[in-house]
Amino acid sequence: MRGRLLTILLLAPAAIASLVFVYLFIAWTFYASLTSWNAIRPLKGLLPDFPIIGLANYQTLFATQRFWPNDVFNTAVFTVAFIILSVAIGLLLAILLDQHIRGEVLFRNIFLLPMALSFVVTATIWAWIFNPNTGINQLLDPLGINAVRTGLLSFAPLKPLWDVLDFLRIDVLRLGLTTDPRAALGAVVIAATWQMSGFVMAMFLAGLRGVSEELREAARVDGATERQIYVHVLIPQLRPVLVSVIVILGYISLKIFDLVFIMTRGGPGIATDVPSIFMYLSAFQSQLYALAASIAIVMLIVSAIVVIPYMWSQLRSEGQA
Amino acid sequence: MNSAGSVSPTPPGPAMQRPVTRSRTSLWASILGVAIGLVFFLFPIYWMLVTSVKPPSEWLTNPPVFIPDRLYLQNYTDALFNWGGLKGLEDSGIVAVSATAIGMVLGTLAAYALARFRVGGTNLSFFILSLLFMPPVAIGIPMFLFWSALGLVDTYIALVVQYLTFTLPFVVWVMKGFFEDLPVDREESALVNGASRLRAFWDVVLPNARPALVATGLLAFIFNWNEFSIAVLLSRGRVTTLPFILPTMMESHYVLWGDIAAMAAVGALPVVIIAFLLQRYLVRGLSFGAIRSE
Repeated sequence: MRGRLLTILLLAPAAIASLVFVYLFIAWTFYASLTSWNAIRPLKGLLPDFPIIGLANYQTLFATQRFWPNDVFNTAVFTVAFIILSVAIGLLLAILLDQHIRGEVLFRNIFLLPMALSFVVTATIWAWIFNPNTGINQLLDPLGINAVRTGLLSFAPLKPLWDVLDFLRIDVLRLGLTTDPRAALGAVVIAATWQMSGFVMAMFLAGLRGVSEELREAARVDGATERQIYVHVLIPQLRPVLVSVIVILGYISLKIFDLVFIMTRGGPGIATDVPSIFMYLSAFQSQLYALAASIAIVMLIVSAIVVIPYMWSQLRSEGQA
Repeated sequence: MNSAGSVSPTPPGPAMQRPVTRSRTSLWASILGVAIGLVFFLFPIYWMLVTSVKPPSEWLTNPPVFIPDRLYLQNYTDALFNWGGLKGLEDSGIVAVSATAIGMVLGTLAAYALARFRVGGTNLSFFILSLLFMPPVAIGIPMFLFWSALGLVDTYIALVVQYLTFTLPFVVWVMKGFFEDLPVDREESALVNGASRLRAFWDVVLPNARPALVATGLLAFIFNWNEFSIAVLLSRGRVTTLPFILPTMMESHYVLWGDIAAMAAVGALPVVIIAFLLQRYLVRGLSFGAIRSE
C-alpha cells in the first residue's frame, strides 16, 4: 500500500510535533499539579521529584482569594464586557458598510488594521492613552472632558450605575483608568475591543453579504423598511456567525495574557489579575510550580468546555457539506 | 459553501447594485457612524506614529502637540541601536520566517494527505482543531523545563519548534479546507496518465493552490511575528524578538514614549503592510476557517 505509507509520512511530522509538544506537555502539567512541587529543587530526570499529594493544590487554589473569587471574577467580567462591546461595535460597523457606501474597501481595511497589530503593540499604545499624566484625559482636556466626567460621576440619580460599574471594575469615567482599581478592567476591555471588533465586523459583513439578494428583495416588496429588513430578516441569519464570534472571542478572553500583562501586570493590586498571569507569576517568580500547574489545568478545562461543543458542531456541519 | 471562491486571487466584483431608498437622517447617521469608527480605530495608531517623530520635549506637553512641525527621527535610531531594535528585527525575522516556512511545507503536505486520503476521519480533524484552541501559557512550565533540560532555552531552535506547534495545526486546518474544496478531476486525469501522487500534487494541485498558500503563509507569518507569550517564557535576553523587547522599554524609570512609539512602529510596519495586501483572507484565516465565504 504505497498510498498508505505516503499518507503516514506526510502526516507524521505534524502529528508527532503536536503529540509531544502539546499533549505530552499537558499530561506532564497534570502530573505536576498532583505533586507537592512548590519549592525550588532540581528535577530528577524530566519529572518533578516530589510526592504525589492528590488534589491538594486545587484545594489551595480555590482557597486562594487571588484566584477565587478574584481571577475568576475578572475573567468573567472581561469576557462578558469584551464580547458585548465587540459584537455591538462589530455589528454596527458591518451594517454601516453593508450600505454600499463610497470608500467601503478603504474603511474595511482601516477597521481591520488593529487586528494585524500584536497584543503587545496594542497594549503599549493603550497603556499610554490611559496613563493619567499623558493620555486621554490630557488629550481631551481642551474639550472640557474632565468637567463632563466629574459632573456625570457626581450626578446623584446615576450613582447606582456608577456603583455597579465600580464593582465590576469597568467604570471608565474614572481618572487614569489603568491605575484605578474601579476602572482598570474597563481599560483592558477597551484595548481588546479596539483590536478585535474589526474582526467581528468582517465576520458579520461576510455573513450579511451571504444573505441572498432575493430574500432582501422579497422583504422590500412586502413593504418592509430597511430597518425592519435588518431586524427581522438579516440579523436572524447571522446566528451561526454570532456563535463563531462568541466562541472565538471567549477563547481569546480565557487565555488572555499579553494584553493584560503589559498594560497593567494584573494591577493595580490584583484588580486586573487573570489566571494566566497568576499562573505565570506563580511558576516563574514564586517557584510554586505545582500550584501553577493546577491553574493551567483549570484553564485548559474551562477552555475545553467552551470550545469542544463548538468544534464538534463545526466538524459535523463540515461533514454534511 | 463557496470557499474555493474565497481564496481566488481576484477581488470580488463591485457589490451588486440595488436600489437603496435612504432617508436623509439615515445618511447622516451612516456618515457619523463611519466618522466615529475612523477616529476610534485610527487615532491610537496616529498617536503612536506622531509620538514616534516628536522630540522628547513634546512627548508630554499639555496641551499635546497633534502635528509636530518637524520630524525628529532620533527616536528611531535610538530604538534601533540603543534599545536593540535592529537585533529584534533580525531575531523576529529569523524565528518568524523559519517557523512559517517549515510550518507551510509540513502543514501543506499533511493537509493534502488529510483532504485526499480521508485518514482518521472526524477524530483526526478534531485533534488538529483542538491544538488551535490551546492556551500557550497553560503548557508554559513543561515547555520551559523541556528546553532548559536540553540546554536550549534562549535559542532560535526552541522558539521555532514551539511556534511550529501552533503554526502547523493552523496551516493544516486552513489548507485542508482549501484542498477539500478543490475539484479533483484534473488531479485524477494526471494520475490516470501515469503521474505519481507527489507529481500530481506538485504539477496540478500546487499551482492552483498558490493564492491560498500565499494567504495562509502570510497569516502564519503575522502570528509568528507578533507572538509574545512563548517568547517571554523562552527568552532570557539572547534571542530577543520585537514583542519581547517592547514591554521591557516600559519598565525603565523615566518612560521614553518616543522611543517606545518608534519601536512599536518598527514592529508593526511589516504586518500592517501584509494585512493591507491580504485583508480579504485575514478573516477566514483568523476565524480558523469558521467563515468560509466572502
